[in-house]
Amino acid sequence: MTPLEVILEAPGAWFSWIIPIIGALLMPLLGRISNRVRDYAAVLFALGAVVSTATLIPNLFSGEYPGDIKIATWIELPGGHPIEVGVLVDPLSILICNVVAFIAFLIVVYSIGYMHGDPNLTRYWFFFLFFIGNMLLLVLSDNLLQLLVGWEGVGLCSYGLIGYYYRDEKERWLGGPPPTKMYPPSHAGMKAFVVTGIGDVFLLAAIFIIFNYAGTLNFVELIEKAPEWVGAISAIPGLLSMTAIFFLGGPIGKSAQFPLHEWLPEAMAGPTSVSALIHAATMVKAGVYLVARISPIFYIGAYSLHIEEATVYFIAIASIGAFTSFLAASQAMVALELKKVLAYSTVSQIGYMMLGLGVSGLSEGAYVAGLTGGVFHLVSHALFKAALFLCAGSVIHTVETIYMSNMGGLKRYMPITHILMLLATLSLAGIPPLSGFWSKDSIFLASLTAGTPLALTLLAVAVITAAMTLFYSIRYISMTFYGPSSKFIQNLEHGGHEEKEPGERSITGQHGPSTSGGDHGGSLIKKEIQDAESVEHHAHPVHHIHEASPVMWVPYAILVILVLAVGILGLVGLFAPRFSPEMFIEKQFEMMLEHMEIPVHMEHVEVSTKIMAVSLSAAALLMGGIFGWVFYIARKIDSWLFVSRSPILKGVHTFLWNRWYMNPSYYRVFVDGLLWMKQLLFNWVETKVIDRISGAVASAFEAASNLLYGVFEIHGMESIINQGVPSAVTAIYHKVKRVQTGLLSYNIVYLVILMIILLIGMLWMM
Amino acid sequence: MYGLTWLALLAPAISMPIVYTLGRKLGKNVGWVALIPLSLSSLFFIYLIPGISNTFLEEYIEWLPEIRFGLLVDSLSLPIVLTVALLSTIIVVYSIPYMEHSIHEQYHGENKKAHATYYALYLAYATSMMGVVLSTNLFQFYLFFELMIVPSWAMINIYGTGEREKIALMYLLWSIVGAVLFVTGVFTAYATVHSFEISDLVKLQGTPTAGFIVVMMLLGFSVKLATFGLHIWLPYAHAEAPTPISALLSPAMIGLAAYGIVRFLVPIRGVLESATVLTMSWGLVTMLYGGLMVMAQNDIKRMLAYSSISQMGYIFIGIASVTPLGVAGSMLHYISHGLGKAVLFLTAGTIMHQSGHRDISSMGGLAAKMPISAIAFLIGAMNISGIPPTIGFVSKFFIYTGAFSRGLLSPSIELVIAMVAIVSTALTVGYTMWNMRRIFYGPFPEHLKGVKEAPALMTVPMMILCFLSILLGIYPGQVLDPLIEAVKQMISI
Repeated sequence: MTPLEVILEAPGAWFSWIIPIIGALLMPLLGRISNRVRDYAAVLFALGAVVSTATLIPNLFSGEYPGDIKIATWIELPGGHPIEVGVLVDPLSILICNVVAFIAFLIVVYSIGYMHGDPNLTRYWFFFLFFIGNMLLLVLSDNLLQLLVGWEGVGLCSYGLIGYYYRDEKERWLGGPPPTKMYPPSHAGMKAFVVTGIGDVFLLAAIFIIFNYAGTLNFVELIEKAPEWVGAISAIPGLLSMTAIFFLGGPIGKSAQFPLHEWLPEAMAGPTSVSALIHAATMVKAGVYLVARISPIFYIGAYSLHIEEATVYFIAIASIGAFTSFLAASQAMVALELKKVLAYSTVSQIGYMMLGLGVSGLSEGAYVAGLTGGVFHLVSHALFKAALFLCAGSVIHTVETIYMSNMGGLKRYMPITHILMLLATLSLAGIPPLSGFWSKDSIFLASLTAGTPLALTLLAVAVITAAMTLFYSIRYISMTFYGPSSKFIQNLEHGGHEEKEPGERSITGQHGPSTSGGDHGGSLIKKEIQDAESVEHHAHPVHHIHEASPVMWVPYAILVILVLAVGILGLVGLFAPRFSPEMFIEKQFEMMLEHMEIPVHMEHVEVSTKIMAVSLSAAALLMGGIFGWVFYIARKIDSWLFVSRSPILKGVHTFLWNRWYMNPSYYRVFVDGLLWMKQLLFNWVETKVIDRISGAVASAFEAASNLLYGVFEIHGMESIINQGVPSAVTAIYHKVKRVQTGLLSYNIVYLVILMIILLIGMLWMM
Repeated sequence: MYGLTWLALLAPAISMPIVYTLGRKLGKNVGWVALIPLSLSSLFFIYLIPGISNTFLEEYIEWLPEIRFGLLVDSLSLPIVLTVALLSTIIVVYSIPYMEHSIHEQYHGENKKAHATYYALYLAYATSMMGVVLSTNLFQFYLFFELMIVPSWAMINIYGTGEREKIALMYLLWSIVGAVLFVTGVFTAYATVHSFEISDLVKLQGTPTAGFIVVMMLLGFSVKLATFGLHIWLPYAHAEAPTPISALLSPAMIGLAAYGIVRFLVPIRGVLESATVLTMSWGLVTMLYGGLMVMAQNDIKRMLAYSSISQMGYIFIGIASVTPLGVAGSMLHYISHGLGKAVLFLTAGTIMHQSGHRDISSMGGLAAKMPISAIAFLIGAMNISGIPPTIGFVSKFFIYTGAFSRGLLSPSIELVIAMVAIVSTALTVGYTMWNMRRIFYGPFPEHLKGVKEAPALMTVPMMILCFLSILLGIYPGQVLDPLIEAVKQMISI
């Protein structure tokens, strides 16, 4: 088949990533024409991706899909297994690429408003479109190496966009308020790139091992041949577990799971539109996708081949997921920056997805349920978290502070954003019947189906986390929209800009940061917007808090409508299962596994199990809701006073505020450790040993020749041979000396003479 | 056709007198004259690419009874020689503005003779590097290998910075140490097989002296390769050489030693294989140590010089694995490092040229002033860190797949080394990004306010190199397939 025929087999799968990449490359050219043309072209290219991926949707309903389509050989390998370029179109990739393309398009539209007037938009659009292309390439790749190209590509774009404000103006810094350390955007970008890079090298190591045994990196072939090569790896005790753990390194880094989760909170230094797309809805899900994509291999290993070690893959990712979800949710309960709360929440929610995918392999019967839970939550989270970030972007755009303690009472200024953010938050918190409820519930259900002691333990962690989720959801919504306005807001509204010296950016008179609405932290921290370079905010020279423009709120309104739609379908699905989104996804996976010829043993889920799952959700909501209500809605008790009264609670607060001391310890151990080691090696080994040896050898020769000269030459030869020869030598010496005096031509003349002599000599000897 | 390869090889050297004479009249513009023979050689080698996997080209000139001078262009030497030729061609253009500035500064005014000498030496250097790659016998190889040292020494000595004379001497002496070790190996080999032909080295297999010969030659090459312990000359030489020459010295020249190892020592089966633990750990230490040293540097060129040491560690690990994938990966990494490190050095040169500073700590925020250089630096950094879509990704993938397949033959200490090595590649990502940030991001200091982007003669060569590294990353086949074929034959003999 010619390449054209191959492409026409499933054009959407190719064009979806080619169009945005071409668009990215065209951005610098279009920017030359006019900014307006460039911006609208960016929207069009993103739309192209949406249309392309949408053409794949019918495959989901028809039940027939093209599968693996190879177009060309990329790299020939000595073993005779070439690495090909191809796309894998199956339910998993179709689902995810549609979510990615659609959300990306909405955020591109939002960016038109959000980034309006920024002088570096060409760079922004380049990375943004390049990201969309690479993300879709990643999802649609049919082999691991090609996936890695997209994987690193999205990482590069993430790096470029986190560090978008690379000039590091003070108001772009993140973290704080002092004395908590603050980080500039360029540091955050670098941190993200390096931390995910650490995960990637482990992934690479696993790929090398897999390649050595399987001889291929194509997903379909890997699964087909799994019985042979997984068996071969497991012949060496421990190797399969190691491969599994190393493989998970990549997803753990990319999806910001413990212990490589520390980059994501700092990634919020980029523009909020970027946080919404890359660091909430799509890129961080790449890890979840890869875990799901590769899980059939370990499933076969565990349940067809009965290799005990293969379950390590599932045990590890389930435990990491559950622990991370708890860890991040606990940090979200005390964070002060609005975007950071959402970032912790993203980490926590991805933990849920990982848990879902993990429990899928803990028992044979839970596989489809777990896979469904993980992917369903991925989709539903992408919708509501993107909406949340876009809302947060509107809020921050308007009030020009990153701290929630400087917000409060925004409900009356931004009614539309308020209601949309509230709905998305309720979905995040898992309030029925919104989409988050159904997707979280399906993960609980999968854990119950798996039913092993480990699964149940992890479920308990997940339920507690669900309670914490509702608590921090109430907290941030209330701190942002309800209660009295903070002094900061009042100043903004009445007095326009109030400038403060950087020194005043600390929380005075308090031992810890304020956690209780406006009154405590009010007007303490304020972003300086004096810098003439930051044009973004200059669209509104006279400040006035107002609702976002339609180009911004319409995109997140659409997302919220989808959240509602999924929720309502879930409700309808209780009575008519064919409408249930969960059932739909489950059927897709059943079909996919059947296609792969993987025997799936589905356990029948009892109604009692379902009720059990729902009651667990309800219990969690009740628990989180009561605390949230007391502190932040009814405001019966001031949360900060409540915490500061008890030394234990205060200790816990400090512990959480410092991110369980993980971030500082990572810096201490890895960054400082490395810097210390390089300096130690440089000072002691390089300078004191190696350099000295080299010098010592030279000096030794010098000393020896001096000695010879003094003893032998002067006293021996010199006195014997008369002055005639030396005077001739002196003459030559003076000639030669000119070489060193800077008369350059002599060098070249000598070199040419030397070469001629050599040449003549050689010819003569012939 | 006969003689064309010789012509392509010697074209730069033959044009030396012309370039020198014209240079005394034309001054800096003689760079364009020097470009002609270099680009002709490059074009010739490019022309050979399509058919190379099926056939090879040999041209001999009989000299002494047992010594004939020959050139061999096969699927192993062609990619390497083409890299050398292309780099020399592209960098000579960059030299024109750079050397104008640098000579102006050194002589406090125009000095046409200095230009003439520079380009003449440059051509000699290019020919000798290409000669090393194409040689068919050890004697000839050695001749070119030594000849390579002379112009580079002269260029450091005359146009370098800092304590250039002392450093040039140091460079010369270390090179001679390496050469002496190598020659010891050569003569022992001759005594054993009675031939200087490289293709006859295979006959050493199984002879009692094989071990000694391999060790001697390996040590000799390691000096040039600057593996840990034998590396101390490199940071000095590469930091103080004129930047265009650093861009050739660092990736193109020292890597030739790796080519030498592959050409001479890998075919002698059984020797390198018996010491994989030792050689692989040596590569690993070089890689780690070089990477850590990068972080200790404040001088932009010294930083890049240490990074070359670390990169030679990558190449060494690949060769030390003695697997088809690893060795082919190393040769491919020669190309990717050649392109990547050349870009980085050229960027460093641009920054020094435009700002007059070479301290990294005095830089910052330059991305706003020099966007093209910033992009070039990023692509160069991606290339040496092995991030797609650059060719570095493919070569890194090959090297470590090779290292792992050695380790997995029977799970052993080699597997551990391979794992530590792959994890250590994160260090490369770390230090390149860190330096990227120190140089290009953040607020810029007062003294850099007036800095502008470099002239097109400097940025265009950088862009071409970046373009090539991405192009090869997407279509590695043309270069990679013949390489693999060649290495497979060599190792499966």
